Order: sequence, then structure tokens, then C-alpha cells
Amino acid sequence: MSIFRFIIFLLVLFFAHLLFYQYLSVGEVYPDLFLVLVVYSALRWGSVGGSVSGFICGMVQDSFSFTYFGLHVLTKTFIGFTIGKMRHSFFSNLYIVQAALIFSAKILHDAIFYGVYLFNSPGGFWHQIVFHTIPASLYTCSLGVLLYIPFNLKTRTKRW
Amino acid sequence: MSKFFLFLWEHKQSLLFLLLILFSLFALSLPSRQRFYMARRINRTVLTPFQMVVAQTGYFIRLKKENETLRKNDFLLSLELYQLEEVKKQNQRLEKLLDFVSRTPIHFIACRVISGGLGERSNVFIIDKGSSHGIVANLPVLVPEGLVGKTIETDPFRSVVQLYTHPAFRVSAKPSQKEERAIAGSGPEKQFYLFDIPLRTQVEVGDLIVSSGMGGIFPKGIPVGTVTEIEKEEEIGIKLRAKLKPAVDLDKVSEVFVLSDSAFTSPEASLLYEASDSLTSLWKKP
Repeated sequence: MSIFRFIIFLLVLFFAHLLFYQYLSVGEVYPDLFLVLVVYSALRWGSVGGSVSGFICGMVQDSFSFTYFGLHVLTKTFIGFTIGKMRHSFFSNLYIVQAALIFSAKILHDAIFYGVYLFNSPGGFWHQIVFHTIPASLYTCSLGVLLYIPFNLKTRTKRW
Repeated sequence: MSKFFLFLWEHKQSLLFLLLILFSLFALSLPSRQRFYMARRINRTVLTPFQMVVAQTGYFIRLKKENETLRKNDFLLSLELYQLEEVKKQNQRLEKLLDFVSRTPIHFIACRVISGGLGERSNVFIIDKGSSHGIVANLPVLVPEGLVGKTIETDPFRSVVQLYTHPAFRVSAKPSQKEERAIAGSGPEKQFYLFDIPLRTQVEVGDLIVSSGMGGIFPKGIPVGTVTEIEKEEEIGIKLRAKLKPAVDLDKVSEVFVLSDSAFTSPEASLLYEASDSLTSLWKKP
């Protein structure tokens, strides 16, 4: 995928999450397209791209939360950096690998996030992980890969 | 010193990560009031413009849909209004006709014109009543303004009306206030004329010409037209002819009255005369 198309893809993820977040829900399951953005940025640009995109997306998300300002920044920066560091360890061109990465990233993200957020109520943490994080992870990885596929399609040029 | 910078450059990724993590930890360690303030600040300065754009886009989309709906409604209402105006006009016409009917003891059959009759381009009307309604051939067809023509053919449910513009149409006519009979009918260049006027005539421009009641079809006193010009008949030279402005504008006719059979073909010859008088009095009313 060209850099131009990839940036377009990231912008689509960013604005889709920013502006149409509530319309993308399935019941009470919400996708985390910012996380998808962070994962793909990390896969493409390594730990720097992952950390910076995680920082920006986390900052934007935190600006909406009004409670733990900095928590999304922390988790997403961490996720971006980690995946960026590990990107050469797996064959990330496969969609299934990308989906697995997004799924794992979401689980890890929520584990850190709710670990801090629900520090005083361990029961609430597990409930959140089982009933919200896992469905949200499945939905996020499906949606993320589905959005990525059209951008990754190769355009054929006629050769005479 | 250079070793220090070299170290930084070699570990720039980790340093950047540490910097960002430190920032997030710093943000987390801020008092809740300051965290709230920072979040609100970022939200307002960075994100609100995008949200406003989206909100405005949504607003314009809604506005466009609403506009389309309103335009459709406007169109439908315009059509409805047009129909209402048509109904109003029809109502006025029918009221006029009803008033006309109520003023005469003669039996009329009210008919609707269902085809034909585009002014000079057509010489017949098809009306929606026929022999099953008592209409036979050669009955006068009128509107409140005057003479339209006569029936020439009838089916059970429709009739053909020969209009005064038809080349074969003729009616015995005279000026309304004078006893000088002539024949009215279509003439050269599809104009309506009063033929066979003697040279020493009393007919003048502006005279109202009415049916004379002598032809056997049309009762006396039905307005036929108004004299607009008097000229010599070229062929003979001893007679005059008068150009008439027809009393009825056929373009505007959509309902007509047929003087029914029973009123005119009654065994008593006097009945026709009575009917004629009734008609004369009818048109004399203001």
C-alpha cells in the first residue's frame, strides 16, 4: 500500500472513530478504531510511529473522558510502542495476523486501562473484560481488517 | 558530550516512548480539576471544529431533505390549489348555468363536453348525453351566452353537436329589436356571417343578432352574435352580408344545455312559439 493510501486509511479510521463512534456500535459493543489506527501505524512505522499515533489518539480520547486524563495516552502509547517493537516478529501482511494483533492489542489495552481505572474493584475489572472487552475486541479486529482490505487492494494497470 | 548525544540518538525510540509515557503519567498525576481543564481545552481547540463541521454537514443534509420534502409538498399543494381553483371556476359556471335553468320553464338537458371544440380548429363537440337521455338529432345546443350549435348524431350515451362554425351550419336569425330575417352561418375565411340581408336594411353595426325562430330547430331569441361589419355579397351584388362576432366563445365552453325533445317536438305547434317567447324573455333579463 502506498504511503498516500495508508494515510488516507488512517484518516478514515481517525474521523470514523471521532465523528461516528456512536453510530458504529452493535448493541453496547463499541469498536476502538483509534486502536486499529495505532496498531497499523506501529506495523508500518515501527515503535516511533506507534508511540506517536498512540499518544495523539490517546490524547483525543482522553479529552472526551474528562476523568482520567492521561490514561488513554498511557495505554495507547504503550500498545503502539510494543507492537512497533515486535513488528518484525510476525508476518503482518496476513489479514488474520493483523486481526489477531488488533484483538490482542485491544485485550492488553483494556487490561491496562481497566486495571488502573477499576483498581479498587477487581470484580468490576473481570466483568468488564469478559462482557465488554472480548466482544469489543472481536468487533474491533473484524471492523479494522474489513476497513483495511479495500485500501490494500492492488490497482491493476493495463499493459499493452 | 558527543557520546551522550550519540546515546540519545541510538535510543531515540525508547526515549520518545519514555517521554510520552512520562507525559501521560504526569497528566494522570494532575489534580482532577486541572485534568478536567486540560481535557476541556484540547476538546475545544482541537476537536470541536471537526465536530462542528460534521454537525453542520448533518444539519445541511437534514435541511436538504427537508427542503426536498417541502418542495414536494409545495408542488402537491400547488396542484391542489390549481384543482380547487378549477373546481371554483366550474362551480361558478355551474351556478350560472343553474341560475339560467331556474329562470326558464323549458326542459334542458345539461351535458358535459367530452371532446372536440378547440375554437376554429374543430366544428363539432362530443357531449356526454345521448338518446338514452332523450336527445335526438337537430336539437338546439346552448349556453347562457347564446347559441352553440345543434345535435346531428346521437348514440345511447353520447351525441355529436354541430357547432356554429361548421360550414353546413345555418340558423335563421334577425336583429334582436328588428323584424328583418336573414341566415346566419359560417362563411369565407371561417368567419361567422349574417347572409341574405337586403340592400335597404335596418341592420347596423353593433346590433345583437338572435335566432328568429323560423328555421324549425332554434327557438326565437337565442343570441347568435353581434354585427361588426356590413359588406356587399360579391357574387350577387344586390344583397349584403354582415360579419358577426359570435355570442359564444367556443374555447371556453365545457358544459352545454340541449333543449330537450319534449319541449320542442310537442304535437302542439304553439308550444314552440311559447318556448321561443320564454327564451326571448330569458335573454332579455339582465
